[in-house]
Amino acid sequence: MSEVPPGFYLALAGLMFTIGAVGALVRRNAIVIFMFVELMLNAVNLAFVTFARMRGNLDGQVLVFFVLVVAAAEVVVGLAIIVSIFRRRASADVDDVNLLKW
Amino acid sequence: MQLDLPNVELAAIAPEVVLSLTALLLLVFDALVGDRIKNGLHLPVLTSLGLIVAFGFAFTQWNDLDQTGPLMQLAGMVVLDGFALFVKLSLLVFGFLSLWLSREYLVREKLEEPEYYALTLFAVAGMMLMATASDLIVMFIALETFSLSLYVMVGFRRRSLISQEAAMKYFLLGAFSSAFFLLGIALVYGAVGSTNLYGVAGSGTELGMAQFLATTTPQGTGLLVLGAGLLIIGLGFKVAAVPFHMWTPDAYQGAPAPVTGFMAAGSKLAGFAALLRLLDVSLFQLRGDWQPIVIGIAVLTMIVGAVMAVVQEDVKRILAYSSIAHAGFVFTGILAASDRGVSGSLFYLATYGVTVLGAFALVAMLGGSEERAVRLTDYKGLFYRRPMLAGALSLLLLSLAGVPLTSGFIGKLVVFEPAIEAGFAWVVIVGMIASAIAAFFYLRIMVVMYMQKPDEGVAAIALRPVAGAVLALSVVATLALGVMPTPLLDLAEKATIFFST
Amino acid sequence: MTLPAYLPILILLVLSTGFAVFSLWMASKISPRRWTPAKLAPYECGITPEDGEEVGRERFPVKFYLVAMLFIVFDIETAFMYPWAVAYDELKLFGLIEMGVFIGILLAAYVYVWKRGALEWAE
Repeated sequence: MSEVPPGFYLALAGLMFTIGAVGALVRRNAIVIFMFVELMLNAVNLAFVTFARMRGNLDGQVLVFFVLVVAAAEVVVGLAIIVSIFRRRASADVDDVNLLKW
Repeated sequence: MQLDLPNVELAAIAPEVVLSLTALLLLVFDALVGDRIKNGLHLPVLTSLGLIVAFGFAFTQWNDLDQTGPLMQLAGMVVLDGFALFVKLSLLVFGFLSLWLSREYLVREKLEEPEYYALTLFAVAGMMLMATASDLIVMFIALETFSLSLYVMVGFRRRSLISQEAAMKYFLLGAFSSAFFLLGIALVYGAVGSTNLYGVAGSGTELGMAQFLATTTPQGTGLLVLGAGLLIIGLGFKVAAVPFHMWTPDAYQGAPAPVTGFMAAGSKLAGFAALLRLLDVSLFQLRGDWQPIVIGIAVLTMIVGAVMAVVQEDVKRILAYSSIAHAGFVFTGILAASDRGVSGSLFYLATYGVTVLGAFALVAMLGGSEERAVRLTDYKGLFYRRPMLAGALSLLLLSLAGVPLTSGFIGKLVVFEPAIEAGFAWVVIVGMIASAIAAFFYLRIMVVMYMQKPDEGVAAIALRPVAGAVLALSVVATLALGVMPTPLLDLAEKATIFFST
Repeated sequence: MTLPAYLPILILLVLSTGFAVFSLWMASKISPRRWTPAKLAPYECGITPEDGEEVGRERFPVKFYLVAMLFIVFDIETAFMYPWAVAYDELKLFGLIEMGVFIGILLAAYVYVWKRGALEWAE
């Protein structure tokens, strides 16, 4: 079986990142937006691992660990903020959150 | 298999370690015995102690610099140079000032929790790491450390929906932008094969960005340029540069006023410190590629910030847009890509930080309980009610506007001059037009304060001693640095000692 | 660095944005929307949900979220222990001390969470 060329992984990472970015911009629910952001982070993780393989050093794989932990911390802080809004307004829709206007 | 174990020179990041340990200690200590202490004074005292010890360490490092010269430590993860230490010391001062302002605010709003102090400490530690990081991954972790702390601090007025909403917007956009920053790191890693800004000496296989640029052909830099662009997006978000500024007015308005001041002073300094090191040092050779981007950002930021501020009715929002405009002025200093540009930017950020902390301290004081009085109309006739406070606010606003004899004027001078020398005179002209527009809305606040009579029966303004002292300090510093800026300029000069390979 | 060098990047940018937009648009156009009562019911681990007006909007006690958050944080930290465990023989004392520092910090967080009452289920 032949090996999958690394370029394919990079293309996949690029696609995942863009889907995440576009999704985060078009969706309205805070939790869904946040899930798309997570997709972007994971796309970057894939890129890191692929580059690590292309470059033949381990740096990229080590970076993934840190990204994972930071992503987890982000999830927790984000959920806490969203839940505390939830408790008061029963909606996680960002369009319902509109006290602040330019 | 034999592993090369790195030297763990913890002394290099002693100030950050002290701050983090203090924060941990604070949380555990308060969780264990906090109930038994009544007035809660132990929280700010312990926090101050941490900041003072950290300042001591950083100051020693600053003095040692003359003997040791710039160092790269912790297996190439951090550098200790004049630049990093200048930023660290300024951040510690910001942290200290904002701590005591917040304390009075928190007591008044009955929000005092140990978490607030711990978050302040973590935020300052994260910001300091931004300045000292010589590896993009350390920079990323630092960025997240202070951002996550700030997200929570913005939403700290738990009873206020506005505050919660601000926290959510700031968080969602912040997470979005850090994904871009991270993709930038990935592309730089793909191009260079390492995430180091310089390159680790003696490791042979590991090139850093600076070394890579020194050895590669111009055709081979495409991926690196793209990565750098994404890094600029990520950091541009943190310093509130247009077009990544969407969160700024909302977050600034919703956050507790002392937190807003801290964000405006600290996260700008930290973000710009990272940008300065990245662009003016590591990517210096690529300036032909990034300068057009920075010109665009600078021009847009100055103009949009100044113009949008004119139409605001909420004082916190006016100051938010003004802080956007100020970010634009600092970008002109970066643009110059010279030592004088760097020292000018640092001087600008340090003086702006002190001034803006004072301004938001006043907003917090004048806002009264639950920050109800933060609209422009609430400032009517302030001069007749509290002449001293009106005078202090006027002085701070004049400095933000860049009027001579205030630190803001010198700040503008030292960022515009290098930009002109580097041949970007037209950008500076745009900056001057923006300052002129900006002067309009600062004057507008003053007109309201002096020319209109106060409404009947408005609540009295309580001036608390500690916040008053910090405010006085900020006003005096703003004035003193406007009259004799030389000492701080000399320090900023020393801050252009960069580590280099 | 000349302008044509950016061209592949530009093409990729257009392609991937197009793909993302196209997928979202296509999915909204061609996906069949045949809602049945079973599909619209909130999923509760196979148990038939309680009837009531507010079924979809029902709020879980915040405790569930709190436990989930604590789980994520402490769970992810174990990821750092695997590489350490694998390379334990080479890292020797150095690794042990570093891991001790790491676990010490986690322990402080644990004490904090415990003492602040986040682990109490009943009020």
